[in-house]
Parts: sequence; structure tokens; C-alpha cells
Amino acid sequence: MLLYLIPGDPARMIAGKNATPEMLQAIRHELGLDQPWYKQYLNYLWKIVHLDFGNSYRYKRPVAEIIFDAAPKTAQLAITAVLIEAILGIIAGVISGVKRYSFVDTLITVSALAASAIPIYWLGMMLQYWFGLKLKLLPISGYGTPAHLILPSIALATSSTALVALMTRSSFLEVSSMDFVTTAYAKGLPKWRVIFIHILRNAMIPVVTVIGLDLASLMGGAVLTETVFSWPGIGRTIYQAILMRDAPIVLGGTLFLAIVFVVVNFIVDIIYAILDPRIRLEA
Amino acid sequence: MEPRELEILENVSELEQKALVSPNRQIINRFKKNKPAVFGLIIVLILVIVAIFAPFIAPYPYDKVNYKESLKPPSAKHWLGTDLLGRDVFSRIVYGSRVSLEVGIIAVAISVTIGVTLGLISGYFGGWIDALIMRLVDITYSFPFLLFAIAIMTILGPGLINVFIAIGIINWAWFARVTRGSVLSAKEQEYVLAAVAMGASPLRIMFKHIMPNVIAPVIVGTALNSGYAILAEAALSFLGIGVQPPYPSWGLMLSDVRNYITTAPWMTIYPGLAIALTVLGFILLGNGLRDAIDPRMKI
Repeated sequence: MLLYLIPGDPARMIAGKNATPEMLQAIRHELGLDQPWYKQYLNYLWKIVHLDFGNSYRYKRPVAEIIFDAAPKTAQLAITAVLIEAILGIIAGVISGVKRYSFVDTLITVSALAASAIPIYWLGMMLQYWFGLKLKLLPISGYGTPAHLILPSIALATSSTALVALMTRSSFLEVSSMDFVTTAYAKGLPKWRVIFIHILRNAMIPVVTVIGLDLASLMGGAVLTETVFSWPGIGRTIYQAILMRDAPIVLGGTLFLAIVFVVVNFIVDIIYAILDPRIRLEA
Repeated sequence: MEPRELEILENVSELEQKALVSPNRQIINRFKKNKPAVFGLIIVLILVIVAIFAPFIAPYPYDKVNYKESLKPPSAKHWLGTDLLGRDVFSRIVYGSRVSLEVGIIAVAISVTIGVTLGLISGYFGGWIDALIMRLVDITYSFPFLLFAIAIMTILGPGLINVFIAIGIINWAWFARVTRGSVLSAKEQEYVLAAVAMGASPLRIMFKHIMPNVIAPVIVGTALNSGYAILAEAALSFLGIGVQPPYPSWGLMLSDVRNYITTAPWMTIYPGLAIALTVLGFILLGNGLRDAIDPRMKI
């Protein structure tokens, strides 16, 4: 809806600078832009219900097609990033929690805070510089082989990994001070069993939420990473569409991401219930 | 000694302190003991000083073009080298601190004003007003932050003032949620009931009796959000829809030089470091304030 306010005339963008007024009028009529705004809006809603996001002004292709082309590529990047953040973040958080107030703990906490302060795109450029140019280990940008996936997903995962590590640490510490943990130690259970079975399982509940919500924000937040690494995903598509005033792509893409967000939220809720049976009783 | 026992000893000495020292003094003492927090405060202070005295600190004007000196590596004449147009990178970073500081203050002030007001109304009145405001918060949260900011910047057009507005009107939701939470718990206190019984007006109760409970989390949130607002401004400028040239913003400096990373890495490294250090400073400061005021605060 907001996009009708964007300055600039899509018809002019399509026809080019030398278009005659008649041509512009014809294009406007074809796109339905000559109708009153409420009619345009109702038309749009009616089409959305039928999964028709309209055609891109610029590429003359259905928006749904463009989005579905780009979505798997972003998903690939986002899922790899989530795997990295889940594995590294939880390991770092648990180490930090077990060895609390030690040197390792301070090191992990401070580097996690530092990692969340680094601009993603700058990190991406630094990774390109060191691993792509200096060491010539990995491709600098583009899409294709699994090797192309490594640098962008590291760049994308870094700040989330830090978030997960900090979250795991604080949740771990909170659970460690509970009575049932003391009971478990008192029963004489080995330390690893208490940490992994008793504490970690309970400490994971808020962490799963963070990771789940993060997957959704990564789907959109990948704009910067995708721009730096020329990754042909949905974030870059939407960004380019905004610059080209290609309203159908922007609207369709944003709507698509909002749907992804809702679906991921739903899945997180289910995982929640599996991890914590008490939730089923309340629901 | 076991860590557990040490902790107990610490608590005892803290109890003894409480008898002698005022609550504010205690907060300051706890803050001073926290080394990362002090480090964060120092970074933020340096940012403020550099931004205010930029013309005296920078050896060159930020827009002084000198083609003969183009793409020179760091040297005694140009500490951090020069960029494509021969402008001094160090001077541009110094002036760039002004943009970051302005975003950190103005954008966050917009968020705080909208967020705290709506949060107070929402928590105090409840009912359909609460439901309406909280749905607005949910909607704001359900959009990926950066895409939302890009969309707003596209409507408003690029420029620093629009960056303030875009970041300000996205971040308010955070403050609204935190404020509402504090209001809900403060509303149940006896002294609020007493004020109601004495016939105080809703406005008076809201600002005089409930507002003080909101201040602590808002101060902490302001520090943290300033950091993230600076990060967001840099990202928007990097994408070319934030601050416009020739004015130097750290994000903009990075986008100018994306293709020169092989030939002139100094142009990329230092602006990025400036962003990362500044944001880290605000985050450490925010965390330190939270731990000093109330370690159990959920933010």
C-alpha cells in the first residue's frame, strides 16, 4: 500500500525517457494504474488470494516466478547460517556457562559482543579480502558450487552466532542455579550427565526461540550479505526492485517474507512443545 | 574456596555496603567495577569529543579533493591513506563520527518519545487501546528490520533527516513493549492504588507515579538502541539510500570503495573498524548499565 506513495512513475521507467504521452497512457492502462487507488488495492487483494502477485514491471515476468526462483537460494544461505549459529553458538554458550567467570568465559562473552557490533557487509568484505584475495582459498562472490556458500554464510551467521552464544550462556546459568540441578548433583550423577541431560535440555527452550526467529529475519536481513557477495537471493531481488520502483516485486516479496515469518513462528511453537511438555498442558 | 562461597561472601559485603551507601552511589560503584562497561563508556565519550571537535582534530577538510594524492596508502602525511578523489581517510572518519552520533541521539530520541508514550498509554488503560497498540507493535516486529527501513527510505527519499525518521519509527516498538511491561507491574503496587484512592488524575498517576519505574529500562535500552541505530544508518548508507555524498558517513565510505579492496584495502578497513568500535562501545555501556542498575532486568 505504501508503495503507491513512492515518487517516480513506473510507466515512465518502463517506456524510457523518449516515450510519447500516448505510449505512457497505454502502459498505464495495461498495468491498471489509471484506475482509482481503492480499485487498484482491491484488485491486488483479490489476486493475492489466488496466489497471483502480478507481473514485474521491469522483467515482464510473474512476480511469483521471480520470488520462487530466488527464495531457495536465500533459504540455502539462511539455513547454512542457522546451522552455523546453532552449532557454534550453543557450544560456545555452554563452555562459557560451565566455566563461568573464567578467562575463557570472559573471552567468549566479549568476543560475542564484539561480533554483534560488526557490520555484516564489512565482515563480508574482509572475508573476501583475506580468504578470496590473499589466501586464494575460496571464491570471492557469485553462486554455484558449495564453496561459494562458505563465505556469505559465515558473514551472515556471525552476529546471530554471538546472540545465540550469549542467550545460551545466560539461560544455562539461570537453569544451573535451580533446585533440581542441585538434586541431580546430590544424587551423585556424573557432571556431564547433569550438564547435558538436566541443564541443557531446559536451557535450550529460550535458545530455540531465538534461533527460530532468527531464521525468519535472516531471510530478509540477507540483503547486505547478498549484495556484497552477489548472491541472487530474495533480499537482493527486493532491494534491486525498490531501486527500480518495481512495486509488484517489492509487495510480493515483502508479503512472502511475512508469510515465512508466520510459518517459522508456528514451527518454533511446535518444537517448543516437544522440548517442554508443560506447555501442552497450558495450551 | 569454592566459587559458591566466594559469591556468598560478596553478597555479605554488598549488604554491609548498602547500609552505608546511597542507592545511586551503589550503582556507580558497581559500574566502575565492570571493566568492559568502563571501556564502553570511554569509547562513547571519545566519539562525543571527536564529533564535537571534528574541525580541530581532522588535519584536512572532509571534502578536499586532490587528484594528485589519489589512492595513497597510509603515511605520515595521510595517517590512514587517501581515497579515490585524494580525500584524507582519517579526516573523513573524524567527520563521519558526527553522522553516527546524530543518529544515535536523534533517531533514538524519536523512538523513545513514541515508544514510551504509547507504552504508558497501552499499559495504563489496557482494553482495546492496549490491544490496538500491541498489534501495531507485532506488525512492526514482523517485518525484517532492514527491509522495512529500505521501504521507508524509498518512500521518503535518501538523506540524513529521513534516516532519523526511518530508524526512529521502526525502533519505537521495542520501547513500547518494555515500557508496557514495567507499567503493568507498577500498576499493581499499593502506592498507585493509594494515588487512585486519593483521586489523582490518570495523567498525574501515569507521569508522577508510574513513569519513574520505566526510566531504568529505558536508559539501558537507549544505550543499546543507539548502537543498533548507528549500525542501521551505516547499512542504509552502504546501500546508497542513506546519507548522500559528499558528506562522509562511515557506511557510505564503505560503499564507495567496494571495488577497490584489492588495490586500496585501507579505505575499507578503517571506516569498518570505526563502526564496529562505536557500536561495541554503546553495547558494552548498555550492558554495564543494566548490570549496575538491576542484573535481573530482562532486556
